[in-house]
Amino acid sequence: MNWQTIIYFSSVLVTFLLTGFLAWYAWRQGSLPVARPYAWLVLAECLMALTEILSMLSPGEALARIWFNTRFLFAASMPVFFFIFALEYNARRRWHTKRLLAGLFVLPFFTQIILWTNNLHSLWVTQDVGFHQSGPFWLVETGLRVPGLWFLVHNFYGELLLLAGIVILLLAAWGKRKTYLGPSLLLSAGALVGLLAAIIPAFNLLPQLKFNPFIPGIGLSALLYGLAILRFDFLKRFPGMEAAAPSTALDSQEKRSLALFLVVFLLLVSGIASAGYLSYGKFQHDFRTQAEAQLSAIANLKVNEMANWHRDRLADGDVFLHNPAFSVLVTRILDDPADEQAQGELQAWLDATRTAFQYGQIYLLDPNGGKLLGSPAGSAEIPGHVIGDVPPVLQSGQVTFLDFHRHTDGSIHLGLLVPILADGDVNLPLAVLFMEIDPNVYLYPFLDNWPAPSETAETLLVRRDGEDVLFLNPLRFQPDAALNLRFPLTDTTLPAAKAVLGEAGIVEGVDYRGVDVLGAVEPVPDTPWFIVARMDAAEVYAPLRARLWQTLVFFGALILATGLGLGLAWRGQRLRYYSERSKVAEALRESEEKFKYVFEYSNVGKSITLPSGEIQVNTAFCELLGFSREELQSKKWQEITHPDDMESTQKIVTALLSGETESARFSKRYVHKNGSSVWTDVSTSLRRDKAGKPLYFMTSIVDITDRKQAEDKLVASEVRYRRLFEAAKDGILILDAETGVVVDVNPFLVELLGLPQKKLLGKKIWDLGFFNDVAANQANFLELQQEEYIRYENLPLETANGQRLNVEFVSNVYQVDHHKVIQCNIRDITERKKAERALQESEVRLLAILDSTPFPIALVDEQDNIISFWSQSATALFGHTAPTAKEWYQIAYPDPEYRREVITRWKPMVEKARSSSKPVNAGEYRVTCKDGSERICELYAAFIQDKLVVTFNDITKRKEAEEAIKTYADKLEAMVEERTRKLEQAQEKMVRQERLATLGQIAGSIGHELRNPLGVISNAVYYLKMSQPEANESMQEYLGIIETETRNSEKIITDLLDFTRGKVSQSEPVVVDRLVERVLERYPAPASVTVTHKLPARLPKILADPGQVEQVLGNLVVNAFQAMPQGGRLTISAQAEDKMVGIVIRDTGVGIPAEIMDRLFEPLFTTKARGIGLGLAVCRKLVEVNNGWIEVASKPGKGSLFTIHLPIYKEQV
Amino acid sequence: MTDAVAILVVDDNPPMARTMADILVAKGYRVQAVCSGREALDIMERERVDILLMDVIMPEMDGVVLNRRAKEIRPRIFSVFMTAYSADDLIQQGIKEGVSTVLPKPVDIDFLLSLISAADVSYFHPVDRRGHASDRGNS
Repeated sequence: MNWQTIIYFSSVLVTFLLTGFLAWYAWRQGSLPVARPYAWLVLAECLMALTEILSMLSPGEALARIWFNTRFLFAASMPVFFFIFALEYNARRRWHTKRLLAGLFVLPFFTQIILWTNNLHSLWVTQDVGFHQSGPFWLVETGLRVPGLWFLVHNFYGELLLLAGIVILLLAAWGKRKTYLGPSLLLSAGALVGLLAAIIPAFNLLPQLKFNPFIPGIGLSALLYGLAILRFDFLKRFPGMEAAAPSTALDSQEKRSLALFLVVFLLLVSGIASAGYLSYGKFQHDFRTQAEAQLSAIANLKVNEMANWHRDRLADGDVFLHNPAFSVLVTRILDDPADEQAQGELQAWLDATRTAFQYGQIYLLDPNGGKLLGSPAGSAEIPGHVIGDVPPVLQSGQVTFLDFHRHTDGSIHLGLLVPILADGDVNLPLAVLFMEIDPNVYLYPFLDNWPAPSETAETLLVRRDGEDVLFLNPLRFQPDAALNLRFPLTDTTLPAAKAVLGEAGIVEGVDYRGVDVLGAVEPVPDTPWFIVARMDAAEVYAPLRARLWQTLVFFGALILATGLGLGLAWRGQRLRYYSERSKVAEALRESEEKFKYVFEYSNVGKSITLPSGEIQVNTAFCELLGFSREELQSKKWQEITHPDDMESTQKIVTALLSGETESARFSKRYVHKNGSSVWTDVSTSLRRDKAGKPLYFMTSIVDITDRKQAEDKLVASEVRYRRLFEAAKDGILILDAETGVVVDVNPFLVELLGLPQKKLLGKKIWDLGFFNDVAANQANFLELQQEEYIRYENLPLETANGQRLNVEFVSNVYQVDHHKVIQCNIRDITERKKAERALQESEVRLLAILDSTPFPIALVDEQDNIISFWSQSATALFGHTAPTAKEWYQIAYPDPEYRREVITRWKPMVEKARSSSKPVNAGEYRVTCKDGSERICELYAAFIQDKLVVTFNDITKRKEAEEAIKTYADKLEAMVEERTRKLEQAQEKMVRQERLATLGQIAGSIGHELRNPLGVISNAVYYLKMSQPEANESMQEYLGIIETETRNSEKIITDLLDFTRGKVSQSEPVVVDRLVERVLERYPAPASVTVTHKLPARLPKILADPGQVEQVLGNLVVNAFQAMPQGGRLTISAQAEDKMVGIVIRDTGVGIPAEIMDRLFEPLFTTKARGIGLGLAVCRKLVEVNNGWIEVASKPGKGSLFTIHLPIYKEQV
Repeated sequence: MTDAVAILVVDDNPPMARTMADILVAKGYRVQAVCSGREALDIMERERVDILLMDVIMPEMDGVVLNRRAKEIRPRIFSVFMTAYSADDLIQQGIKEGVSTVLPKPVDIDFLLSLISAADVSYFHPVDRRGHASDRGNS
């Protein structure tokens, strides 16, 4: 028991007393609304303090635990009471219904169940609190508690309620800061203290605390409440005391929204808190794992080192244990203590061992403990306990380890005792080697060394000493601890004790200084030692705590921000809500004003009439009756109502008042100020209050005096029309347009049908047998309804007496009093029909006549528009007809241009026919038939009476014949032209391509064609000459001429045929000069022509067919002669060109016109009177087959120049 | 004169056939002239024809075919082509099939007459040389 415990117990006791007093005090104030929940709150606190006291004073731990757990009954209900108190305090009394109360207690109730059944599920705690005794008290160790899920739920729930309560308390103060700020703040502070007191032990936030601060916290909280009572008397003066002001009272809509906000807030807070807890929990777990790992690693390191060190020392002993050399040396000095050599050797050995292995001292003792030798030599005396140990060591024959022990001089040592035996026989003991170890040399510095920087960490080496644990090394905070500090093993919180008692691994506990520590404990194998690597929990958890505060601050801020945000949102919503409410109020006011305006300024007379009869009227009402407002204000309705209408009005009023009807509309007369009656249309309704009591009549009146007059006129008019109806000489039937029922029938129709009116009225039109065709079925009637007009020209009607009549039936639909009726006019047209029929028949005959004429005829109306008749012949001819001229134009003259032309031609003709009254030939028109063919028609227009008769005379055949003849002539011409052209083309083509073979065929066929007639002619001439030998001279002469010319003709043909046959050249070297000479010899020049022929002497030979070249030159020379009929000069020259020889024949003749130059070499082209024009063609052909070419140049009137180029003969070398 | 050489002139050009026939008649031959191969064959079926003067190019039946058919009737018939063409496949074919002479149109009458008389002597009346009469058909 220490002072902390005493203070703690005292605080709990004080809490108990204080809360007890407060509970009693508040209970006595029970009449006050706040007092009762407050009393419950402090009573819960009081009882909690009581259970704490009972727990502390329990005779055993078990009972202490039971009382401790009982506490939670009150701990769980306390926040609920606080919340309710806060509600009451802030005048939210209406909120705390029984349902809310029950709801709030659900969770605490479950808390109790789960708390007491924790063994089954560990939802409450996975490790419960521990208790330790301090003096007479059981003190709870909340640090040992590992909370389960529900513990957290319980805590959060309580804290939330406290927070919510605090918020509500502060809200109360917000509105009236001056009055309630103090008590609200004090109460909130009290609650906050309680909140902290709950949080701190729940999460072991202040591990330094030796006791549970919960109850003292509650006490402090109660103290603050007490202060609040003393200072502010809050039980009597609180915001809720004031009458619920409209501004603060929340209506149901607001409540709903606030509840929503609270739910959202609670959800968000739970979420945030859970997130914070989980975040911190994870960090804590990680951190702790890390710290533990570090401690374990260090402990492990130390243990291994210690074990190694211990083993090494034993090994050092073993070196001497079975060492014959050493034994021999020992034997020698035992046998002869003066054997200096042996002594020297042993001394050196021991010295070497001591320095090598850092022993403090090494002694060789005789079996009696007498010192034989020592290293360092001549050192201090042998410790007494060592001497005592010598015999058993010798007996055991084993190396014995001497644990930490203290010398008489106070120094601490360890040691080894090694028996030295002769021949390893325990029965032949020689001596004992004592090797003393000074722990300060290695062991203590090693243990003292902590591999990481730390304020409190250290390694403890301990061993069990009886019922104590003995500390073996000097400690960081207690340097003289080695072999001095000991604790009883019953002190189980001591990590060292736990180690000695067999625990291993991470332990928590209180160390020798009474400080909470975290340690790793492990036994050192093969030794009695235990290593405790420990560190103050405060140091270990320092970062953790920093983290916790960070977490708390952060998530607290988050919750605060959430609260603020939601608060602002709610406030905003409230503002909107109120602004809307004010808008509604404004709207209401406006609506009232509108009503007032509408009432006052309506152009309809309005009055509000009390059941007693007093009226309140608007301007229009006053004006209607000519009174001023003041005059009417004092009147009852009865005073201004026309006496005749009094009774009926009173009836209506009574009906309204009795609730028979809700509103009424009727006509009544008022009395104008000037005494006249005013007809009005009155609408009135009775307004009642909620209880159904009549309040007033709301009446509108409209002046209908004019309408009444109009109605009177209407009646008069109706009478007139009725008379018309009655007197009409047409049958008139009025039907209901919707149903077809006969509504009215006039006397004429009754008479016409021979049926009494009764039998007609009320019947449906189609049920009456008369109008089979009109309304034989309802479909017709439907049509009538839709079309609103039907006319039957000629309707057979059978009257009741069986007489058949023809009637004209016209139906019209029109509106009468918003109701559709059908008026059917039925006129007897039997006589008219007869006349018409006669006319029609005559017309039909006429038309039949027209129809049968072969000329197509159309009958058109006067306007030349509607075509009433097309004769059959027209239909047959055109295949189509049209009902109007316009449409006819469209189909008959589809080409728009032609159509325009037709119309422009036609219209004047029609006018001409009209004015002349005679048939007019309107000209020819191309009419397009249905099949697309065209007929050419001569049209005649004639007016017969008012009809235009159009007659079509189909002259297509004639036209076609004419056309055909013309076409044929044109075609012939075209054919001739075409032939000529083709021939020319063919010739040109042939010349161009030198296809003379083709020409040969033509020539051949011409030859054949000519030879036959020539043959006949020559035969005939032959016959004549033969048979008429004695014919006269001239006859003979002419026969001769015929014969000669026939021969000439034949010659020409032969030439032609010769020419056309293919030519083949047979080339050989030719001397041009000789060839020219031969030609000139063969074709002597006429006398008028001078021939010059001069060729170069060394002109090369040419390679050509000499006969062919001769023929060419001959032709050219003869041509030249012929070109110079008046004489001239012929020059023949030649010169060698590159590979050719050019032979030039020049004349001074007529020349060749430029236009025929191109065609010069064409076969059959000639300008000569005689000859067939083959000369130059043959020339060209022959030159070309000899691989040369021919050229011509000429000037008309000056002469021509022909050059033939032929290849030079190259002699073969 | 039944012994006179019987000449048949065939030409699709009637004036040609006519004038030719007239000349030959005037020269004392027994001559018939027809305008188609069909008619010519009809005549040859009925009576003797010694010399056949025919155009080559005729409608329906050309000279080559007519010559072939004539030879079937009278293998020893003396057939002469008269043609406006100097060279022609038909002519070559006719010569192969036994046409004696080809005369270009207009026919040199004097030459024809000399030919006929030569044929009459050497072809139909070789009796002067061989001492017996040649068969002259059914004379």
